[in-house]
Amino acid sequence: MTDPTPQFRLWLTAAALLVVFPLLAPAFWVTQIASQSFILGTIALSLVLLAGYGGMVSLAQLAVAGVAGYFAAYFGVHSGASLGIPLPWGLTILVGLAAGIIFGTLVGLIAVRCQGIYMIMITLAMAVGLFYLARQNLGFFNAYNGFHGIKAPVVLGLDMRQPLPFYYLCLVCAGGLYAFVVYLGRTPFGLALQGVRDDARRMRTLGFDVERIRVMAFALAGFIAAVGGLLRLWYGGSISPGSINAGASITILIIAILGGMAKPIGAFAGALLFVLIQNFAIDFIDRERFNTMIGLILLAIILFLPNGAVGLAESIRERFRVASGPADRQPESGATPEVRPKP
Amino acid sequence: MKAQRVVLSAILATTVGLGAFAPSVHAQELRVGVLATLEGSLTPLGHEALRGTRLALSEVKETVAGRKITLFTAPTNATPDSAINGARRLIEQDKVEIIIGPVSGSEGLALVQFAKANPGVSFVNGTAAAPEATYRDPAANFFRFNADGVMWQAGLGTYAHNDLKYRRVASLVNDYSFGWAQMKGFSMEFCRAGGRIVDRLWTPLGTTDFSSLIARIPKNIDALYVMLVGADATNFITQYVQAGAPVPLIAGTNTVDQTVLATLTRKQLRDFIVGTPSASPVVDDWTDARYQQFVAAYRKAYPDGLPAPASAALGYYLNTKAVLSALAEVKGDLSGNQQKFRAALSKVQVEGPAGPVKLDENRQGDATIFLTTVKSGGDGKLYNSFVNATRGVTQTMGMDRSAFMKLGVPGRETVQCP
Repeated sequence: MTDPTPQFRLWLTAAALLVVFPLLAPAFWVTQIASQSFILGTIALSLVLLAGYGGMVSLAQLAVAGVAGYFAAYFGVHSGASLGIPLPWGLTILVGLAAGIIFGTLVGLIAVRCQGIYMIMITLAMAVGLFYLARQNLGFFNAYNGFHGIKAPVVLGLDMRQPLPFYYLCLVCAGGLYAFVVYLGRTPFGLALQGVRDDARRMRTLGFDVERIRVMAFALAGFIAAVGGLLRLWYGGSISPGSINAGASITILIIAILGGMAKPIGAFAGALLFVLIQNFAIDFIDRERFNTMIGLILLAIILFLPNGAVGLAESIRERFRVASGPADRQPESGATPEVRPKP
Repeated sequence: MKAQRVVLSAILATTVGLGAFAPSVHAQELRVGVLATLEGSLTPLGHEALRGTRLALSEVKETVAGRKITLFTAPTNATPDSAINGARRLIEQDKVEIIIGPVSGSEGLALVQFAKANPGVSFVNGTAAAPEATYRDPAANFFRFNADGVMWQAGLGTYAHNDLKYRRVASLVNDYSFGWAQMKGFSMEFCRAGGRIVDRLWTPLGTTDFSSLIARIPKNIDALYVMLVGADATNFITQYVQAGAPVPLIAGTNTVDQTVLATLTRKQLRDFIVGTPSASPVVDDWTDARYQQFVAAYRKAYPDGLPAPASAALGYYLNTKAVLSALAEVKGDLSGNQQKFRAALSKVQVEGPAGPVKLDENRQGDATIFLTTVKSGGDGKLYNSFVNATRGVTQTMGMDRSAFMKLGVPGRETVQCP
């Protein structure tokens, strides 16, 4: 980066805008759009970490979030009085996170021996297996009904599920995890993970334990997904088998593809795009057909924008830069704008 | 990093720009939301539900106290979380003040908890019939004018034992709140009359292949109690007949209602299903004048609908009519956290097709329940024929509240025969 200052200024502006946003926007935008985007973005971020850095596409990340949610529901306050062990909220959160990390690691242990389409299939199989278990098991998952009336923690008299506190909770979690993933990409572990993605055999020859690196990535992704799972639990106040079915699992993949998996920010861009489509497609198209619109947009993105919305933004910027002249061209981009057609 | 900058600005711009799409609320119109299963195996019930609501609305020309009623529909798929998502969308995006629905039992249980978290909105049930929604832990802003799943089976267990002389039955029931409720309603009477339930088979909603379940049906039984909903019922009946149909059926409410009967087009299936007993809040050939008027209005409004209204249409019709009556009484006034409207709704007496309906202290309505058998009409159409009617069925089935509670929460083991 030749000039970090304007970039830093932009991030600062964005952060300030995100902090001020809920004070100005209506509650619908704060909770339904922004908070939900952060939550889905966080779960998708765990997939982007696996897919972007590790080259491993897992369809079980929502299942991991679901396990965290189910444990937090079972060991938390909900309306089904006959089931569960209510713990103090601090412990509830710890149990939920631990369950998510353990399940995420377990998925990793099983899945890392496969690659490509086989990994997608085996993780999908585990996600669907969990769905059927949750739907049938009465003793822990409460079968078809699941858990309802789940309360978010009340910290120092502040109900975290109120629109404003909840927004900031989501913002802090999503922002923190995003920064963590960006930072992770530059650590020796992150670099090793990217090395494994690019050429596992060479990394093995260099003395790296490829399987262990991959499993560790799954554990970290499990933590991120678990945080998303807890936020999602408090957001909806309920969890049931429908929250973790195959359709919902694939939604996370759709979000990652919409945003683009090359960069961590893609997860949140994709989530925002998805939530906006989900909420506003019905204004442009028949209410019963909004799934069709999501499908068409997804199709268009896969066909025309292999790098997702982030890729689109990148190419627009590229064109814009060409149009404005080669003066601010960056040397490391490697592109040769002179030979490209002007817009 | 440059890319991230652009994306970030793009996101912010979109976020601010799309704010213009936020819906504006007109002062004069009344915004009412409807939850209906328009996806998944209960889709036929969802369509039937909307017919019920629209029928009630058309009676008042979509207007109450000079205010136009605007209807917003949210599709669900019978899972609890789809109902919550739908309700949230109706409240936060469509700005509705009253929600009518949902269709399915477990959706209803979830919505009661959601209602507690949204005290500003009134929730009036559609056909969701899990008893617990208005029983142990009711919400102050949740009203239900239709009967619950236990009530819908009033008379069936006794009839199966005393009139049809069935002594040993097995059951095959959809494994969720509504199935458990129906099983409780059937078994509490059947066991009390002296019958035995030798095996209980449960299957998830949305089952398409019943072969392994059919193989597990015990041999030495007099009849099979079946409570499957929507497409599950059609699939089961087809496969059961193909497997030779060793014993006759006793049917739960939705298993032989018009949403299912209309799908049985093959002669073999129709011949088999004729004579199946059931119990339901709707019946197709009752001669009562007011009921016939309801059936006629349904047929006139929906020439391409079912031959006769199913329980989903009746439930949504009743609940919508209750909302409209209460709105008329308070002249469309929903101010003051809807206190006046809710007081009116609690007291309103709805003139239903099968008789007046009033709420109890948990905001649960009483009902007239029909005992029926499937018959084939002259035109070849199947219908549920009237056997008898039980009036004034209450949520505790005429029992003392504590004695009824002792029978247990509806579940896989409720009620055990002595």
